[in-house]
Amino acid sequence: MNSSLLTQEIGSLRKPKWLVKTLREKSSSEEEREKAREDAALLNVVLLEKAGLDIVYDGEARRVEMYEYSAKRIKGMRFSGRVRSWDAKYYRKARCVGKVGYTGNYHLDEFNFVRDRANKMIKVPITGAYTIADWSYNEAYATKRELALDLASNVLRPLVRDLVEAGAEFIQVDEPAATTHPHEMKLVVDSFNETVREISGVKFGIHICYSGNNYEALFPEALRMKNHQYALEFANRDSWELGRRRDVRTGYKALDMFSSQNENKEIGLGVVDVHVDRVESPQLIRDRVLYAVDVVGDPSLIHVNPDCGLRTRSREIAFLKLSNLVKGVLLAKTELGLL
Amino acid sequence: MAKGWISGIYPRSERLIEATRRQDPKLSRLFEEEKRKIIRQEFDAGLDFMTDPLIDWDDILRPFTENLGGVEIGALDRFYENNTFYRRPLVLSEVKSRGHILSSAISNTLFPKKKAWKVDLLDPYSMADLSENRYYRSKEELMFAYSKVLAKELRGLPSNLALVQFNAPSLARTKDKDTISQAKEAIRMATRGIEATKCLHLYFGNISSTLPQFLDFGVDILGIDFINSDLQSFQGTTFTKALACGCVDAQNTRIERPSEIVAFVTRVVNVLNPKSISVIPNTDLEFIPQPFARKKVQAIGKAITKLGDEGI
Repeated sequence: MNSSLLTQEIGSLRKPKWLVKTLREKSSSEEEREKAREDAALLNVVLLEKAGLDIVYDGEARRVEMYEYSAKRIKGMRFSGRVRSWDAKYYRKARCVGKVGYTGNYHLDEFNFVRDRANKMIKVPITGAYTIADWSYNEAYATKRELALDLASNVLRPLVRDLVEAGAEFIQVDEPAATTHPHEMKLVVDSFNETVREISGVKFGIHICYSGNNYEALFPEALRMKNHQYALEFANRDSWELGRRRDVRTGYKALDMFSSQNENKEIGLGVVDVHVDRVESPQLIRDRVLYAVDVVGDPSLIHVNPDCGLRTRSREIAFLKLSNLVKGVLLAKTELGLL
Repeated sequence: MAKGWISGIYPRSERLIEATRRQDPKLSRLFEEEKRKIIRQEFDAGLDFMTDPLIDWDDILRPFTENLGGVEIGALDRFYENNTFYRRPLVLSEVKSRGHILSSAISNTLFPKKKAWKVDLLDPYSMADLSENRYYRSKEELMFAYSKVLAKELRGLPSNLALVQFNAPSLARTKDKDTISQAKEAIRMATRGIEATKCLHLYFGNISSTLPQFLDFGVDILGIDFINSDLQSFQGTTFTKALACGCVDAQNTRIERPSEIVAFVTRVVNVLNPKSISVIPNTDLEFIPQPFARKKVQAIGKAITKLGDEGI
């Protein structure tokens, strides 16, 4: 396969209504719940492959939410209740009340399930140590640094090691909190590096989104980060106009910064806004991709993806957005003579 | 004698969270019931100023974003360094108010009779900093436009208002002398003719290097966020105002023991020697679930009683 401009999902898809109903129904047995999760996971793999993506997973069908699912399975964490994210949207926050520990690989079953069924390449998204530390209340450790590094070495690293032993070749560490506190960038990088320490033969990406500082906080610390890919949100900041001029592709300014670091790392280019129903046309995707190729230079360093997980959109809209993403990449490849 | 109060938005209960999620038609009644309960807890804890818990505000700017002339609801944006988001006020033309926004958004009739009450606002600079300005020539110009609006809004409140608290996270984070100097004038404009005690609470930053400028503001009380700043960095400062000591961590569920609060406040008094001291959370309690917020309110109440016993 030509490795230029590979298309990938970032993580979550909205759960089918029947899955939510089965999970909420008090009368459902655990077997029924598990069967419903498996059905949804399989359906998601098929949906992503049908949309034409090169790299797929299960749309995180088994995970209630990226933070809660992980925190619930970590020793030392206890849930405290919900806090507001915005308006009437809330999330459950855990308290770290003791030393954190690994209770078993909470992603292994889903990975094995996808590996046995997917025809395309697989990427496993996992929630990173820094984000878990940042989104939890720390009642047990003297500093956030100690908590994040303990999560990295005692929980995330064994989890990654087990996934790699089971055959995972591409792991995406989700760190949406990475640039929230610019002065903590050293900790973000240290906890990432501790997570992947001495684990070889696998590609590591980091996904960061909705950075209030246009990713500027990342550098120079990120130069030490042992990742192969940055999967980033851009489309949310961009105009909907067609064109490849700098003044049109306003959302992609930060690409200059990544390109100037000469790290030779891949960019996972967010070309689909996950917060609006409006579907990006293939031509708009094409122009965003070609603009990025212009800036980055080497199309093999670019993967193309939505800004973030598409769970915020209906499954129909998510499918349309992903299908157009693939069509737009085909148009770009045609223009670049990559087909 | 040491006083105590809470600030800003209080967390919603699980019952209210569910009601807001399903857009319960009885929501306004549920909000009022819960406000009564929370105000009762403030009273029972022995806090000195009753405050509306603002549980019906979707963010600290929302009543203004929704009701000011010239402003529309903009995109979601991160609220400083929190995993909490707000809708940016999108300023498209001259900012205008008839002076009824705050009086409609505050449930001051729920406060116990004869008990002093306070109101919380963002300061004009933080409001401008959090807005998307597409009309005024500069952020400063927008800040002064907000000052005028806030002056009108404050005059629209009942005259028995005892304390106006300006919460100023953006000001706490700036080191720019000209900005702070202009913000001082903006607060003077906003509070002109207001009889109530005025407090400027500077949170989400360490203000030790800019404190001398803030001591010159026309407010009676300065609030300092001691969760995000080290007390030692204030060593040697001559503090000439009353101090609201933000030493109760509103962003962590660990509950402070009253004796712990008392010990810290005693150290603060030794370092800064303020005219008087009050105990407050470092920021809004909405960052922790309600059961923990309630325990923090009780801890503040117990701490101020102990401080009183010790003559502080």
